[in-house]
Amino acid sequence: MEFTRRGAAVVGVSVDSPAENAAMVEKLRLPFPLLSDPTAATIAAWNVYDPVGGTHGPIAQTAIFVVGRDVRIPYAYVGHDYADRPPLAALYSAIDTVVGASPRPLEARATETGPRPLDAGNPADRPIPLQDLVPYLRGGYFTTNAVVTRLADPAAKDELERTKAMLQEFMQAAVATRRMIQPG
Amino acid sequence: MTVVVDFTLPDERGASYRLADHLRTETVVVLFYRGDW
Repeated sequence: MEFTRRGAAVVGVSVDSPAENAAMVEKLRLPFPLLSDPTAATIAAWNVYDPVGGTHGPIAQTAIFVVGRDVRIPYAYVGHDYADRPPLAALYSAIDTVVGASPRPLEARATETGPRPLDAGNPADRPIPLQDLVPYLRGGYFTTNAVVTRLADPAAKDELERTKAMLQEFMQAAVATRRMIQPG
Repeated sequence: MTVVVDFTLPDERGASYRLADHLRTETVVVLFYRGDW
């Protein structure tokens, strides 16, 4: 393999399970390991999170990073869609520039068990201040309440009733927390 | 801007792969892909 010949190892990362990866390695006879990041924690930490996601949840964007032993990235490519592939020449020359680099230590930050780190650029990750949380949950509760009366399907009604009960529970917890912090 | 964040993830045989361990000896090309979604 051209990468190996140039002194670089290759590793693939996706949200697929080890079993799915084993099937893929076998099917494509891949000469490198495929790693499993089901929570997308590493994918998010590397900033290659696909905001749209796949059918089953979060996934990675197609991306390639050359990482030198000096913990620098002389080459990064992030594709716009699944069919994007980078030109190989630039990739090879980037490998050539770092192959001789001296090793530097790399801090451990993300692991397979760690939660996905918060991303300030992602609206879903911005914390809601406690004073806004109660009205937010109350809004959700009343919306659910209004929708549930319009539903004919009993199964859907049941599901929404459960959501309504959950929102009510959260709302009570938020009110109790607010009281603990600001008595009176 | 991507910084190198270490990871320890299971490979296809369930063995643990830590990026920092591999970077001690070699350049590593990390490919992220969408997976069989």
